[in-house]
Amino acid sequence: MYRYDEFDKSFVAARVAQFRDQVARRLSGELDEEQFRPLRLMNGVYLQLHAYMLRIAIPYGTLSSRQLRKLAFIARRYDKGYGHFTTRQNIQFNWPALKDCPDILNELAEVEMHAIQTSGNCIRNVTADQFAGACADEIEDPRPYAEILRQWSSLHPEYSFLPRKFKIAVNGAAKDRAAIRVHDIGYQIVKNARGEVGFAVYVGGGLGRTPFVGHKIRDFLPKADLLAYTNAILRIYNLEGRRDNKFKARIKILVHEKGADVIAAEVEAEFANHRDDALALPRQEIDRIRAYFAPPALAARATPSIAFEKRKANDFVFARFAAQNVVAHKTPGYGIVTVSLKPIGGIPGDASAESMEAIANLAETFSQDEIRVAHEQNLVLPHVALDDLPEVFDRLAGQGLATANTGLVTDIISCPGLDYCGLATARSIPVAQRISERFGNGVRAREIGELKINISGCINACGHHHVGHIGILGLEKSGSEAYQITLGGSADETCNVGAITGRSFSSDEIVDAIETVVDTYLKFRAGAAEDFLAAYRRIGMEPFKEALYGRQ
Amino acid sequence: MVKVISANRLADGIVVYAGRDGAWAERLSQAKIFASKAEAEAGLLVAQNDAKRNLVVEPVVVEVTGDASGLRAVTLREAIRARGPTIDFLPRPHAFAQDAGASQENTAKQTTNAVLRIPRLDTREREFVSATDSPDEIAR
Repeated sequence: MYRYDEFDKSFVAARVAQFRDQVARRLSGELDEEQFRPLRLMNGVYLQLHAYMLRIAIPYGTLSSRQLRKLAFIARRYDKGYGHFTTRQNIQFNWPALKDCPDILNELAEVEMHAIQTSGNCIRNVTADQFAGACADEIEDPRPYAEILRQWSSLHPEYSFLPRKFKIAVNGAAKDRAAIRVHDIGYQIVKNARGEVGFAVYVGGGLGRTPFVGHKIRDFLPKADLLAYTNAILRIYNLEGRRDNKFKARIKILVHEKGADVIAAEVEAEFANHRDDALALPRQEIDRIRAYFAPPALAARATPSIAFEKRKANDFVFARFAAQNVVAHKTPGYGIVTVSLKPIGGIPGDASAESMEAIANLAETFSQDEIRVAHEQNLVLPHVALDDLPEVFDRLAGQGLATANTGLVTDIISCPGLDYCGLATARSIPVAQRISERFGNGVRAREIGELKINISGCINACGHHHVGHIGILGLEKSGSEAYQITLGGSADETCNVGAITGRSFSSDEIVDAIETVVDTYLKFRAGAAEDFLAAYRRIGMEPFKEALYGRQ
Repeated sequence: MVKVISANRLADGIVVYAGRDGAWAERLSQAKIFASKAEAEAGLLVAQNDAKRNLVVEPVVVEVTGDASGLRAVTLREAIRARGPTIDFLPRPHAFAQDAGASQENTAKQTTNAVLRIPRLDTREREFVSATDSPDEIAR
């Protein structure tokens, strides 16, 4: 993992001291709300319906046990004993007092964490594949490049007041687990014909009220040019992005209005003109950062693992967990374990302080002290020996953390919705809970197979509803909650924005409507091997429309 | 339809209502009731003064209905502000500890709905704050 150097340390400490002074001046009345709001937002402090909310950055979703324990401590000491992991690999606390926020940031600084770049019209926290550095299908670990982008972009003076926020994701495997094509810039690590590793560049993706899939504007960008090219994109956006209308200010609108080809040409020209030495990444600097992310020295294990195979053969529940929540590690004899934060009927992405501590302890003992946050709002133990998996499973089960539903119908992404959020137009969490209870995690869920349901409580789409296989958008209609369904969305390398089925459903109707959609899939699928998305792509919208609304 | 005035307390962000005694109270039941629009507007001026005095943030007029059982916010948003999240959000250790167990093998429950139901709103009355009005950009 990346470790702070003296610069990082003093930079974050100075920032905490600065914010402490700003909070004191706000509380004393020296600053009014209008003056203070942008300052608190630059430190991740929002005001929601019931209280302040503090969003803490978890760069590229990587945490150490010590950091996760600190988050548990903050949850218990300064909040109500839990936190909410978000779709951008961050964590939010829902109840901190403003007067405590400087102390919380000070606690975070002790473990090399902060809340910088979690709000405002700047380059936000850079995200990456949650299996980075561990998965078998990886070309290269994306995190060193995410870290380089973080170091370059933090408080970048030219890019601290962009037309709107700007999100970058980096993915290192052929399978896109970082949803790069719904980011302002998505970097996909690729290998060219000469065997060199670099990036394919996608620009202009995004969700929100106007969803777009990012356009590829370059097939191969050498590693050395990562910052120079990012800089060129940001320059064009900063210059041409709209500042007259907040809802048209993201780069996706610029790319859409001018055309990806035009933007690509402008970026290339800017890049060619300013591909100066100042931003060229020296090989030794890349190597220096990569060294922080060197794969852990995993002890060789016998394969197949006897302990693992034996338990699998004798314990159906364990076998299910292994099949659903564990994927292959690049080192034989190891697995990557997803710890579901989606218990049946639970709140997606929420973790209690006790759960965080339990997972931190497991990571320390069994996963090289590392935890990852997935954008699907789960946690991951990235380096678990299969020999240890029975014990890890038992300990997770003892904490209620062994729900074997990764990628299934109950692994629902949900924003906080109207239960917390000042922007929301409808509740999301209760809908997620009811769907989860309806389908459960038994035979029926397994029969349905891989199915991603994403729920947002307003058009800002924090719950990524556009790219759910089934998306649910909560709206307000004549004073009541109403839910619109989209089908066929996807956030992976086959990225697609879902299509709206038709009229919305009331809160009372929505779970039945989702069940109708699922039943229609089961009726029409070519076989158990054809998952929901594949079936939808084959049969199209009509059968679902007919099932939901009858013959038109 | 009567009105009350609500805000968030500056120091901790907690929802508060302008109270009958001139102080800010945490319960809707303790809120001062304004019978007319003119009265509410006068009350809001006083509240805005409290905002200037750094006691509260963003005071607004909130429509409520009242009967013998007490005051009730008209919009869902304000009902949630008044009563807190409609979900059982506080962690209960081991609440789901059976997840790995055989009980999950049961087929799904068909009708369970643990959600606190808020009565359907009066559709004629809306006091709705749209995304465009919100000063904080919460979306991730």
